[in-house]
Amino acid sequence: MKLISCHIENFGTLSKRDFTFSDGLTVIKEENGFGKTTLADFIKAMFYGLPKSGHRDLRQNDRKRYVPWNGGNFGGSLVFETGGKKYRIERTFGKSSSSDGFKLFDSNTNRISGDYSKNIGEELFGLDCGSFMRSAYIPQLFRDSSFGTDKIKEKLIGSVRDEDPSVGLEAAVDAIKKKRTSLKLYKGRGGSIDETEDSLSDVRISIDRGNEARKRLEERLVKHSEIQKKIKEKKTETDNIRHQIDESMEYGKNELLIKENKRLQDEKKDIETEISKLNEKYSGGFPDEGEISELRKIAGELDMIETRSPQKSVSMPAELESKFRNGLPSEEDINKYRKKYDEFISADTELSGIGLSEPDEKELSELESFFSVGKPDDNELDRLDSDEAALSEMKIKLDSYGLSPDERNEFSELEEFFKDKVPEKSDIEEGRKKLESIESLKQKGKGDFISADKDLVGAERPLALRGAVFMVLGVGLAAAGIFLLLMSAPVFAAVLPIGGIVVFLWGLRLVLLSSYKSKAHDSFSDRNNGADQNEGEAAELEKELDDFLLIYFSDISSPIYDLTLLDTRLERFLNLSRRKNELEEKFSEEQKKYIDEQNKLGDFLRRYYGDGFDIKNARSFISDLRQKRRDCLRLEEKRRLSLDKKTDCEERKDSLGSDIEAFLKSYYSDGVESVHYSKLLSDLQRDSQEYRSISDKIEEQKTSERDEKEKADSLKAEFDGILKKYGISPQRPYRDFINAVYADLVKLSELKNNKNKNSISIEKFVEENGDVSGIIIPTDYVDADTLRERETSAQEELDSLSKKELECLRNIEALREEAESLPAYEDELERLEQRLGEDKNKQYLLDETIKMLQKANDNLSLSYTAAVREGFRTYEAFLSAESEGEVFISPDLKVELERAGASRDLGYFSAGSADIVMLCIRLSLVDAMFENEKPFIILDDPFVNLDDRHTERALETLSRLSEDRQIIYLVCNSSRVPTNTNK
Amino acid sequence: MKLIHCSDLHLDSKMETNLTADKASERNREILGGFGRMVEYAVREGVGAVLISGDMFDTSRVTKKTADFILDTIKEAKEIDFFYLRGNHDESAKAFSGRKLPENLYMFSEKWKSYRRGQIVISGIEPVSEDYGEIYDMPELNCYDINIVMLHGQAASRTGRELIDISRLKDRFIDYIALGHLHSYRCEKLDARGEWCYSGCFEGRGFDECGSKGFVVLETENNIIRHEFVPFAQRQLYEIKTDISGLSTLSEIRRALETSAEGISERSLVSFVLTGSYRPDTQKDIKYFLSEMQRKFYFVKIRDESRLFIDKNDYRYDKTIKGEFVRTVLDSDYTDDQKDRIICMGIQALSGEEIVL
Repeated sequence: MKLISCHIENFGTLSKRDFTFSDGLTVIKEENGFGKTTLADFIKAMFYGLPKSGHRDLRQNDRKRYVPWNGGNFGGSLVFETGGKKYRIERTFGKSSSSDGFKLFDSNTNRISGDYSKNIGEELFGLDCGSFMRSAYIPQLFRDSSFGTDKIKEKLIGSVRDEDPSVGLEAAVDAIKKKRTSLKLYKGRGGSIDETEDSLSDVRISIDRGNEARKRLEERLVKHSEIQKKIKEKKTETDNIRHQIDESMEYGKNELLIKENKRLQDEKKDIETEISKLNEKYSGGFPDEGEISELRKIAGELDMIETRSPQKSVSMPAELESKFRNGLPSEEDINKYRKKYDEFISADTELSGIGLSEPDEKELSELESFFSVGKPDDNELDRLDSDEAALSEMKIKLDSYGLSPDERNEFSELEEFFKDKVPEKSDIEEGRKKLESIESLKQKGKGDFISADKDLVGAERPLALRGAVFMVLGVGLAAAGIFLLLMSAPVFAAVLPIGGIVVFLWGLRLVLLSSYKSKAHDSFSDRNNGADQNEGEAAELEKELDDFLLIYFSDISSPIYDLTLLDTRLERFLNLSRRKNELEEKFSEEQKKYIDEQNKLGDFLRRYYGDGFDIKNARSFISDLRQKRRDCLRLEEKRRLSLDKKTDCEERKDSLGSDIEAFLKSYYSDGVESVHYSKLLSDLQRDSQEYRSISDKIEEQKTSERDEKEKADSLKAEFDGILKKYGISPQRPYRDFINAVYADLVKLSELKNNKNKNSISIEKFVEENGDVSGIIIPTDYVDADTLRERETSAQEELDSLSKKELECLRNIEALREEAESLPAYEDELERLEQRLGEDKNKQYLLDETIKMLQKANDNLSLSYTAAVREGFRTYEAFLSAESEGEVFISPDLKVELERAGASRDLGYFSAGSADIVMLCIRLSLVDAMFENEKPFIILDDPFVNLDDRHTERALETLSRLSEDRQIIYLVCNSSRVPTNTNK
Repeated sequence: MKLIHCSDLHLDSKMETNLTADKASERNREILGGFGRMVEYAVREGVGAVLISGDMFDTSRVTKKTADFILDTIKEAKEIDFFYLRGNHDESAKAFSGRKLPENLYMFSEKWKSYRRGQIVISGIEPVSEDYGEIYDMPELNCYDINIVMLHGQAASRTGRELIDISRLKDRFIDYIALGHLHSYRCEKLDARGEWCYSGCFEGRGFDECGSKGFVVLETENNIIRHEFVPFAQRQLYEIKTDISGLSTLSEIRRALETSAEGISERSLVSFVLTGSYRPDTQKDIKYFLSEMQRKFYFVKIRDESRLFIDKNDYRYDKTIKGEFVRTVLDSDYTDDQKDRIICMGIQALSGEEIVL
């Protein structure tokens, strides 16, 4: 196939450029920066499109790199011929491959052709873009010594045919690998083989468990057999024991019979022995029941008599004898003296109560001490009262000698007002005169003075009216005050007159002011021509007046008022001073008297109260004195009365005491003291009662002893008489003796009774059991109880074994279930192992298939590398005068040269050598890949690194090659342009 | 009197490997059920005795359920006497251990034992010695009795372990040797008087036990014993060879399989064996054939014994990867089967077809 022309609309630096390509060599010589490489990439892009814009590196991102700088349509068209047909490719490129456009036209018909798709490059060349760039496109620097892409290899080995679906080795291997990974992953775990192995592992575990269960089942079955054996043995043992129990019970029964027989016989023997003993004892016979009863009764009495402990003879105690040797006091006497004793005690009690009580004594003592200086009589007390009253009156009177509180206040105010400068009346009068002078001087001086103050015109009338009212009111208040003063109401008397005077003066002021203003107005025009001289004098007088008034007033705007007020106050001040002085004199006189009286009273009372007396409370002291006197007298009387009573009481007490003592002395020789009277009388009474009692008892005892003796003799005689009949000698104690006889009698009766019973029992025994004397019992038999214990123990063991057996059976069931699942697991194991084997075999075969495919591929590669090597030699001969050495081409089409006995990568060689080698390889590769229709080759200034000689040869080769193929040669240096070429 | 001679039930034994676990269990249940059906048959036909000549159990696998079923079945058929001679698979039988045996179950031992039922004497021994020598120390039999001898082993012309030298049992007044061990019915003449017979197994368990299975019914009359084989298996196993030579498509091969299995009951277990040759492009999808055939029968197995036919000359000049690949494989050391499969898989892969394993 060949290129015909191309139109670059916009592609990198190229814009609206057209190129035509000749059949052979087309040389495009342009300067650096023209875009030669861009043209080559454009041609490639026409066939292969632009890759997706992924890389940031422009060198790897053609779409980004070739975006038109001028921003126009990105793309172009290319006309080519293949298979005898001409086509035109039109492509546009967008920001991404999805926005790219592709059209293929049949150049002859100019219609869209469907002969190829947008993958036209692969379809035409059978190479992907990368492979194309490594083969038909030979750039300037192609130092990559490995250009063996899969597509190139496939192309070389012809594994892809046009008519075959394009799977290729790679796809085939991928498909096999995919199949293989379904069996087992190349790395890690996964796939059916691993799954099967996992399942196998699980099954093996289950089998191990099953085997274990089976083993344990075997053991359990053995154990079960053992348990069953033991159960059987234990059952046998239990049965034997039960049999022994039966035997033992039989032996036991016989033993009991023998014992019973023996017991009966022994009993019989004992009874007969006892009976014979009794008969021997009572050879004369037994008294009968009645006699026994009688004897018992007598014996009881006799025993009682004999055994009764001799009564202790009652005797009179010696002390009582001694006490009452002179006779026994009667109860009446004792009572009488007891009564006297009571009186004695009451007298004594009464005596102790006579006299003042202790508090009274104390109080009396204190009062006597208080009145040590003598008690005042009633007259003196009365006189004290009157003196005290007089003093009170004098005090009241004294208090009245003085200014009233209001007057004192007023006086203080006036003192404050005047301070120390009390004016004289004459001063005030002089002031008045000055004022008048001032007025007259002013009137003279101000004749032409005209006042513009019109207010003054009408002002005088209201002022005058008000002033008159105040004056009337003031007069009225003053009169009222005087009236009240006369009525002895000093408070109001003082206030009202003063107030009235003040009000009156205020009114006067107002009137004068109105007059002044009137005059001022009238004379205003008169004074208009005022004389300075008069004014000066007036001013001087004014000043003097002001100075005077300023002593007392701060505001002297109304001097006439001030003078009037001053006068009034002075008057009042003088009056009050005079009054005060008078009252003080009076007070002084009266006070002296008062003090004298007070001292007199005080002296009297201090005699009693000392320094504690306070004259202020004289009344209370006097009252107290009176009371004290009263109490003292009362207590003294009380004491006198108690003393009298005490004497009587003492006499009575002494008399009683003497009587009692005399009475007691006849019985008590040791002396009698009054504190013991009561006890002694009580003792006396008790002793006398005892004496009487003892005497009675003594008498009683004697009588009793006599009677008892008589009775005992009688009973004894009777007792002996009865026993003698049976030849029985009585013994003491009789009662016990007779009881014993009676017991023997009873015993005999019982014995006879028992003997009968015994005989019956023996008969019955023999009747029931026969003669048991011949029965033999083994000595070593085990008793039934012991055997029963053994039986119980054996049964318990049997029960335990049964439980064990049950448990064992349960275990066996469980193990059996597990063990019986073993065959299923074994079958499953076999199935899995078979499956595993098959899968592994498949895996092996798949791996081997891949290996074989790769081996086949390598075999083929060897074949085509040979072709490439052969082609290389040819081109080497063209391009290089001498051989570059043995060249090695691997199946991957990696090129190495032999040097110094070893193959070396092209990187070790000079750029020129490497370029020659790679050029030869590329050319031979294209020959090998395209046996039939050879594609164009694009050379992008590949001879840059060659020396002149090699360049010349290369250019010759180029010319030669272009004879049978299309070569597009891009160059920037004319030295590397072949001669006779199409540009 | 009627008797049934059966053997080799191999209850609970392992089934054909390719059966799924469920199907294997089902087959075991069917075999067990077969015993029950046999006893029903025996009761129905008025059989007086059932002779079980060994291998009733696959001892290591027998379950309690199976053993209980057998004993219960025997016990319920109390009018029938069951004579059980243990075989090589019953050697260490613990199937009945711990169980009370029914009164109508009669066992044999290492010593000759005989049971008389009227005129019929049933004798048997379970030899343990290396050469089964104790078989030949048989007590003398009465010539006027109908003597049936039960043995388990391989009929042979010499002695040995599990071998029964039939010739040494001749002329001993034996009318019928009820043998067990082989799994197919076989009957041969013993001597002028008697015969020896293998009843075969009840049901085939694998494809090495194809053919009719069942038991033998014996009938005595006038001192003569006659026997008849009664097929009794619920399912039969078949192994069918199908030649796929010349066939290339799935349909062709499938049709060939169907044709070769014509007439076989759908209850059967069928093993198809592919024979003949095939080419690399032959559509031999075993899984497809299996799924198709399994719809027609109870169980299907396919064994591929066909060979890939490849003419090496066809690829001599094939420069393609395929050609090289085939040549490489053919020249390799793999086995023929391996070569066939590798070539098939490689070609399938190179062709972009699905790779059939």
